Amino acid sequence: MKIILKEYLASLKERGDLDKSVLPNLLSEIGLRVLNTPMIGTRQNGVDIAAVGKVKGADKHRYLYLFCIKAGNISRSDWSTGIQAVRPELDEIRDVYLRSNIAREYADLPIKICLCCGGELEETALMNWAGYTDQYTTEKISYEEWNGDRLADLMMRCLLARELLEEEPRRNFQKAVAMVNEPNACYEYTRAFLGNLLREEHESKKDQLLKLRQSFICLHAVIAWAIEAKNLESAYKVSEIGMLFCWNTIRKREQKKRPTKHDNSLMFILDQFLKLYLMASEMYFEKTAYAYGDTPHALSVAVRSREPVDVNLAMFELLGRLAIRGIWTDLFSRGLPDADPHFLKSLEESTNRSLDTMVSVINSNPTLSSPIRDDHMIEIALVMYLSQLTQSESRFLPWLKSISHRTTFALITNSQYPTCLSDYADLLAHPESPEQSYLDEACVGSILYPYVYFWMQYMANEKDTAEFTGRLMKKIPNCTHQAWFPDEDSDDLIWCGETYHGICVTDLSPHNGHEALVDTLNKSIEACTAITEISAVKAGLIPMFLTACRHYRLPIPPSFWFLRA
Amino acid sequence: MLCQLHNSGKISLVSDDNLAAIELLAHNDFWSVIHSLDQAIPELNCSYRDVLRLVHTLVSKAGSDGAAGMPNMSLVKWCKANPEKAQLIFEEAKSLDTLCLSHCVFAIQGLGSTKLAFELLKHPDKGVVAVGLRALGRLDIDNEAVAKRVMDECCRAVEMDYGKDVRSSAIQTAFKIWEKLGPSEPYRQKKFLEAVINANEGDEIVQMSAALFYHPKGLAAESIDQILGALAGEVSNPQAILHWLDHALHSNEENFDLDKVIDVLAAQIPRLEASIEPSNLYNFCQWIWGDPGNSAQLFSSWLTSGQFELCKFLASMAGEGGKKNTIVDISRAILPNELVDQIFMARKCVGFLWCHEVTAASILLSIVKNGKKEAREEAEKLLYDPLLLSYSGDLRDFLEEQAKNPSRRLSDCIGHLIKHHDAYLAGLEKTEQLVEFLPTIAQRRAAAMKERERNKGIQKQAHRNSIFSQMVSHQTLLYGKKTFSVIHGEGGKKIPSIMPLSEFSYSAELPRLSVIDPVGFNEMLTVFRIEQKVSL
Repeated sequence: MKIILKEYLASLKERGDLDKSVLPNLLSEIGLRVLNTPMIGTRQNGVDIAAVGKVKGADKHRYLYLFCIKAGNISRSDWSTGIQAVRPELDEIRDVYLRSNIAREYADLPIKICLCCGGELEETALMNWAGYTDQYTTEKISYEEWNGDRLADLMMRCLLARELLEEEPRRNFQKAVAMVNEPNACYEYTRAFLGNLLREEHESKKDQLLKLRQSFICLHAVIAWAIEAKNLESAYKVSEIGMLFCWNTIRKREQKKRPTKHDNSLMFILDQFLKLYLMASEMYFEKTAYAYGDTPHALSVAVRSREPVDVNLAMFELLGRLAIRGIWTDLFSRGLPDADPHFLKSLEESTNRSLDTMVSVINSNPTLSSPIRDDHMIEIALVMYLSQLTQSESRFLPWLKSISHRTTFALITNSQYPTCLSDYADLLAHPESPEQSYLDEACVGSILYPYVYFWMQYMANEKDTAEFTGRLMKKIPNCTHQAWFPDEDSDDLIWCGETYHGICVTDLSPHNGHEALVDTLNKSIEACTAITEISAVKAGLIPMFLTACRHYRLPIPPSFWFLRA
Repeated sequence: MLCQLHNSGKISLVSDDNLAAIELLAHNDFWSVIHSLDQAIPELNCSYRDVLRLVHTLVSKAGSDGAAGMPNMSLVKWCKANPEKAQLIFEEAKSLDTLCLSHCVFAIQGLGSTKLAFELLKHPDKGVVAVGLRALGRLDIDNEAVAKRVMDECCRAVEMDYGKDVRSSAIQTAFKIWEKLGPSEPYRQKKFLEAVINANEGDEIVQMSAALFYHPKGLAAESIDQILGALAGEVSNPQAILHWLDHALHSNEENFDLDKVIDVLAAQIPRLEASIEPSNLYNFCQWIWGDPGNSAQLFSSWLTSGQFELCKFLASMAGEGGKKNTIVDISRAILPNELVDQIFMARKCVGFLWCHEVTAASILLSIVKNGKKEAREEAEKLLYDPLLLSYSGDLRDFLEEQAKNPSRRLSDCIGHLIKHHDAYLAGLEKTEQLVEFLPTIAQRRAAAMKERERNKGIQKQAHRNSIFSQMVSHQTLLYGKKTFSVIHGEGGKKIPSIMPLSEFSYSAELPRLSVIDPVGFNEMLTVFRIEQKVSL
């Protein structure tokens, strides 16, 4: 376990990984109180993190800890040259920080200045470090080297010790790390250890915080290993499930006007999970859709399969992820009024980039006009939801029109028409037979057709609409056209992947016409009000709910179909 | 031996018991004894009625087999050997005895008498007249005047309302007589054929198509054209027409006008109840592929027609018997003149020949080379999407080869295509390091299982369809790449033999678009296949 942690710490290429993700959680658990939340560009006179307290099992007195953080190893060349050089920063702490930045209440505390790195201080720099610390150590000021080995030791002792992290989650975590090159296996083990850690009722607030921090550190380690292995699929998948499990753990806290320290800690951890998710998705898209979205067929060919179903599934997965990222960044760009304008602008740009990439991906990968799974309605609805948030529906209506045409064309020609069969083997063989009995079975129900039909009133002419409904009537007259709403049990169940909850609305057959469809939808929206009680929706985090819907393959409820009534 | 036993009275080949026993023989048993019985017939010592009963039983039992008429030939020999008894058959036939009437033709043939045959033509019964006509067709007539007299009788039979049987006999005899006269003397040929064609009764046109195969030597070139013209019209049995025409083409195609044959097929293939395979028109296909001009003419004509069954047949032809990368180069003279036809042809070409990418590309390049401007642009567009986007192997090699073509239009067009294709492939190559979209292990395993099942199915089907597989016994070698066997030589000498195994394989490129856009690709091809011509 320690070897895994050491490797993980050494692999953190960015200083930000160490000071924003690992250290705050670690310091909190080893008995220190973090005084400043680190942000890049806001280093205070050489200090990345300041904390105060006693390290469990090591300190007898309280100390003021000042951390100077570096990524990876520190070599002789890092000692005194370059903008991230160690010595000038240590000098800055001594010459400036100690004179002007220490709050009065900590002024009397002895000070430990810690040179912290994920790797180690290389032999060539050791002499410099020894000379420097020898020269400047005083009664009040001492120097410590916190290298990867020490950090791993502290993690083992205070975060992931056997008495703190049980055998099962520990084993699942280790397996997840080992399987980062097999995204599905990695995902399953990650889900297992997150389930082990976060699904039980916690005895105390402290315990809850500990489990969340353990989860985060473990998740971060898995993601770091996945990045190291250059498999960002694993990174994306586990970061998403981590965020959902984290939300499940903290969703029941009461909303208070004046949040407690515990509430703040919880929000800080949620923030870390969210940032981790957004970081993983950013990296994932940088490597995939952003890089090759506008190259014709490139992403489809990257599936490297001769089965059309593989290409179809992969491209819709990608599209859904792009849409959900855009929905998140759109929320933050609107929902953080006090944030730095540059940061808001970058969020807005990120949303636009998601939109542009979605258009490119759709244009460059024609399989996206022919969903093979009926529940690809989820991805289509997310794209349309984002397009409405950004008033860019017109960019996607031609695509939706093409879907309406292609899906029913596939039906009449018995090619890869959308099916509600979800087992991969069934999809691989689909369509297995041209017989009506198979068609009835493969299209026994649909959430896709009512959704597409709903939008046809905004994009299709009478002839197209008649052709669409006529083909459905002819080929799948017995299909139950439907939609889904969450019910009062949904909030307790949805975040961890339970799908047996909610209300199914039928009577949405396109054969009854638009008016009847809209009427039924409106009535169902009025009647199925549990959606407003979904914790994330209540907290203003609609994207969290939509992420859960996409992740666990639950239909996007009609409440999110159309935003401008 | 059988004959001797019969003639000595030890057995009776013509007894009721023996005939009943023959009736009851199983198929294989029957065919193993018929030869012995047939050989016994010419020398049988029995009454004319007994021999007729034996011959009748054997012919009936043989059914529609090609060798069913063998006993009749033996009857001819018997009649020759027993002229008095044969004369009795003739007499009884005139008295309308059914058994005698049905074998009277062979009796007259055995007697070798045109006089008797002509005598039957005067009989009031049409059945007897028909026998007379058929007998005339079978007799050796080396006298031109007699032959012409027979033709006159045939013409009269066709002109007068003598009924189906007489007409059919007249047609059959007429072709035989013309063959005897030779093509330089097509006595009353044109008129006779005209009469039959205009009447178009029953299966008479089919009969004429069969005559193309059986009696080609007596037909003048114009008469063949005349018959082909009839074959391209309304006929009672399109399948039989195609069957006989294809047989007629065997080593004999120089007598036929390609355009007219193409017209016959174009008229009859769409009328068939089930699709026809190139193997059913083997000689036609050989003829077409034997000369690039022929294939150009056929593909140009049928693709421009857009007729579904014809274009489908072209697609089967292009891949017939594992044929690969056949080139069809359509010259300016053969290419349709109209812009709308050229564009239509280009789209049909892709719609039907998409899985024979090199053949399709060669036709599109012909349009690029010889077509009108908009048609050239359309052909170039189609060469890129869907052809080049789907196939990067043989098609690309073919285009690179064609880039050296002296035609500037061609080399320029191929230059653009290769440039775009290179850019496209470079885009695809960039994603080689992406692992994020790979299917999971479980998915790959399921796909491999499906692939395995598919391959097993293909292998079984290949065995089923293989002629060799049906003809020879099987041995499956599990190891090694040579086979050892012992050959039994003269005097029981055993000679060891080691033979290296050779490999036969066939491969085809899976079109990329069928994986990355199956529905869209299918839609494009479907539209190309079913769309109808519109005027611009």
